[in-house]
Amino acid sequence: MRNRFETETSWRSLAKGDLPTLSRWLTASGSESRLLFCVLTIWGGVGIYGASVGLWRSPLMALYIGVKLPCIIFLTLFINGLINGMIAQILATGLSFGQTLRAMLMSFAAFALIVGSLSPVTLGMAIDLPGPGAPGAAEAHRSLLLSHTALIAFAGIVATAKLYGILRIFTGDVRVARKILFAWLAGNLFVGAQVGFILRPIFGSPRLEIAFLRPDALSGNFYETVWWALCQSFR
Amino acid sequence: MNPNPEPSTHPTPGSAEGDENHPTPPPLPEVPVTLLRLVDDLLKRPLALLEYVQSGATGVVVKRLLVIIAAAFALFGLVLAIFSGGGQYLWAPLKLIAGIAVSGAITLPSLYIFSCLNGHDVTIKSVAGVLVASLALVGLLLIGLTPVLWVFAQSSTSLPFLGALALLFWSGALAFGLSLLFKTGAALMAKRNAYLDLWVILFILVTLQMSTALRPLIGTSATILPTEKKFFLVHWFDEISLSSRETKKTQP
Repeated sequence: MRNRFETETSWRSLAKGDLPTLSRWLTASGSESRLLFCVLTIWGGVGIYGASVGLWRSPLMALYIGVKLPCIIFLTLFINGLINGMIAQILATGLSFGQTLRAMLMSFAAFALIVGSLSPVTLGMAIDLPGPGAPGAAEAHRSLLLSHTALIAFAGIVATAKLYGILRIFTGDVRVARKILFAWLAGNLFVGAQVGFILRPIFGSPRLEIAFLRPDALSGNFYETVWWALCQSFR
Repeated sequence: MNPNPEPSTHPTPGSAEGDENHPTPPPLPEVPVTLLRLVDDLLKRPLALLEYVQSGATGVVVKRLLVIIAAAFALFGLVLAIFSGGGQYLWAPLKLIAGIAVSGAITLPSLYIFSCLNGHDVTIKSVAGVLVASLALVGLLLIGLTPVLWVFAQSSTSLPFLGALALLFWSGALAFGLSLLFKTGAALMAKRNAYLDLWVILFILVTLQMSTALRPLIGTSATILPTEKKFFLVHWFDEISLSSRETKKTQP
């Protein structure tokens, strides 16, 4: 009961962007730093949301994406952990490597809360829209893509704003907070796009077979594909 | 610590009788939370009711609010069923109750998180209470509109017209009912952000899609639930096209 109450209070602090509490988490050590809580929130929230993304295709795809979507976040943070920590040191934010990781985990936990709270609705969408193979499947796939893109963008913007709030308080300098935020975002987007590309399919084209990973997962990269698509468009 | 504390002039909370000079007044008789009183509070003093709902002692009140919701949506469904008659007298009320219950349940987590994003210091229990109170107010307003709907259901032959009318009534009732959410925010002294507006849009979309997923609510069909999944805008467009084709055929 106490744990449930604590979890709800912590979720509320994250969603509200309660800066004194979040700053305390950032400076504390051990269980007070709420590291495990953030990891579990990301795993649960993003996992359930991922399952709702994949469910339109099939329950197996829901399972795959429910596992893969949190993995994209954790892998991106793991790969970028060193450089993000270094940037924080160079910009004299006063954040250690561990605190850098925790700040990002808090931001992604806020993201997870938003997408997780919307997942009952997106699950309903997946169940209620015409399935693959049914009349209107192409329109359904397009509208799902658009809705999820808008939703992820919204949750990402809100979570970034929360991270900015934490950084502003912690560094005490708006300029430094902006610089570090920009550097982290740029790095995470650059690597995150490629991690997502390797772990594709995420939305999954209805014409392709369901798979955990594509057989050519490690051939090519996200940016080559975008470049190729741009060239094809202007031919 | 004061070593010689003055004797208290107020009775201690634990002593039921107080002292001889200042007898404790008898406790106020508890006013039973009847359905009629709740209806009265919802219409006249919604904020007072919200305070009560948020205080935590919500069991009886929430149960009675749920009864109001069920009764109101059942009545609205019954009046909608007049248009088609037959099995719709059973299915339309049941579908409306199921639809609002599912819509409320699947949007409750996002209402909680969006309220927190808005800066409200709330618990999921209190948010659930506010949502139930808002939906009860929506239900009451729908009851108020049922005589008007009944008049049109008796005489209209156009399904899209009655559908549009029901939609208009639904929108109006929602606008008033969901305003309780914003009033709660104002009562909590939170600054107004766009998060609750976004949630209201989401809720409206969910209820509109629910009306399509549970169709027919007004017309007739061979099956109780649809066999074909459709987006609500596509469904409306199809119905309007079908109706205009049929009107053309029947014109001399």
